[in-house]
Amino acid sequence: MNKLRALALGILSAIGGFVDIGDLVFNSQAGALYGYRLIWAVIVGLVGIMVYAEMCGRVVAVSGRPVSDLVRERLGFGAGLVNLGASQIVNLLTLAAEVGGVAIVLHLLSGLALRPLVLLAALALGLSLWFLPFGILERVYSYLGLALLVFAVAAVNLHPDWGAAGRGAVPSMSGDRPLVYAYFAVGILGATLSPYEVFFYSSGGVEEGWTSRSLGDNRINALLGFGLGGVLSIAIMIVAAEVLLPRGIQPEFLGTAALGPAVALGAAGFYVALIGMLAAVGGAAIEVCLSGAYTVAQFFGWPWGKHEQARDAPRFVIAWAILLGLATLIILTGVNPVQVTEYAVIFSAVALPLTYLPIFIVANDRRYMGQHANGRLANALGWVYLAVILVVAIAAVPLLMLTSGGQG
Amino acid sequence: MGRGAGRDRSAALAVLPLVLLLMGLAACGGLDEDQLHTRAQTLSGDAAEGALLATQDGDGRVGSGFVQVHARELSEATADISDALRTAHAGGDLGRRASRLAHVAAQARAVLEAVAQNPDNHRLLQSAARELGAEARSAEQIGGGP
Repeated sequence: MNKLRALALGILSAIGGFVDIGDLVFNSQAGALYGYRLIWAVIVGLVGIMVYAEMCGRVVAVSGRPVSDLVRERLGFGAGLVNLGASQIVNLLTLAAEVGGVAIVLHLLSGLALRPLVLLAALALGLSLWFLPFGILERVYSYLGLALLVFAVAAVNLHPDWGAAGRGAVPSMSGDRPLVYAYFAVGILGATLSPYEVFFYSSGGVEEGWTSRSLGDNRINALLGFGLGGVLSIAIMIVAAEVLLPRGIQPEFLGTAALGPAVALGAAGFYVALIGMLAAVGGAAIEVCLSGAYTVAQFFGWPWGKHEQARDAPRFVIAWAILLGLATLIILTGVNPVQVTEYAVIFSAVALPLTYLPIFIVANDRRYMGQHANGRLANALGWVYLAVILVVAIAAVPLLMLTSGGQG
Repeated sequence: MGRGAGRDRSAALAVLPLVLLLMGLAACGGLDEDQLHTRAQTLSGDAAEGALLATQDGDGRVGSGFVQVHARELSEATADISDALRTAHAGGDLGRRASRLAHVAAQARAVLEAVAQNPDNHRLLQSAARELGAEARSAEQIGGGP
């Protein structure tokens, strides 16, 4: 039971980060356009986030301090400030997309007008952040987000071509609109490796009081929690490949993703999918909001954390409240949350090296890590992924412009 | 100084209609084969999605609130395509195909709007699914070639 409870952080990080609005949008679009051929991008991203989340968790368990705190100490104020600024811009865009996503799912469920629902979504998220302790917050959203397993059931029920799905797990290029294909590969990698996930995971470890005795829990969280997120992402892609691709449907709206489970499983599948989407996008909003406040507070050395009373960490509370308020204002301007999602994912891809390189440096530093510094396997994988991240960061914006956001 | 400023103002007023004309032309925009193809693909996808939505609604697999919202989203998307095609500049065969595609978009928009307003009318949903399926095929055909 304790193991199951300990797994909640991994599940929330995975469901909120792996399967957020960006993942729902990019995986549905990729499946609708290219069938199973981009499954490899999910797998590459999945292994990458597992490797780096494990590093972050290990740093927390050994040093008792979150990664961004150590990054500032290790890299100095200037480099840390650049890192902070880049991650906050991406956080704000991502949070705006998630708040908009929560409002859209409520809109689809109720049929009520969208704008009041944006305010309602922001209010509900703000009240959750204010009143719920970290443990309850993570369990409510992560376990409700498990409703997204309906996509896995729908995928199996649609009897996909498992051989073709297996071939899609092997990286390849496409002769059909190769730039658009590359854009979606970069988008899936960017959505999977979102910087806020590792900052949230790391700070969550501190909130839960991890020590060196938690190294096993960290490994289980990183492997099983994020592994579950990867399975759900692939399931979303398979459902889109089975339901949308044969009909020539190119998803432009969040609601399109819910049609797949409806076709495969009927009304029950449809409603469970919408509830799962609501929990996953809501969980992601909570995660991004806290991640932004964590990194700001840790950078400036303010008291932080949900384990603190609001009066003891006022600047931390103000930081998440400002982020949530600004994100809500962005969505209230009438901008399309799905488009904001696409920009957030692409700009997060650009910022990836600023997040992952410092983590790699700290996890290798024996002054902090002692005998728990990266071993050969973690270093080999860490280097490979730094190379992947660099390619993704360089290619992201040119591909966004050359393909007009994946339009062709 | 005052006379110079007056001359500048006169020159600016003389150039203004030209600037407005250029801005107007830019807003309308030209249309090439690739753009027509992309719009046709998008329209075909929207109409096909509308057909799927109407079928699922008719079978009781989706909620009527969802159908109202999603059919309206698709209706607005097809209206945007129709408007863009009507204001685009293209001559000859390309212009004729753009005009046919704009007509298909307008028809799809009307059907989707009807679905949004009557998500519980089974007879209407059945005919809407058929019409939207036909419009998806028409758009695909127009975008594919003359």
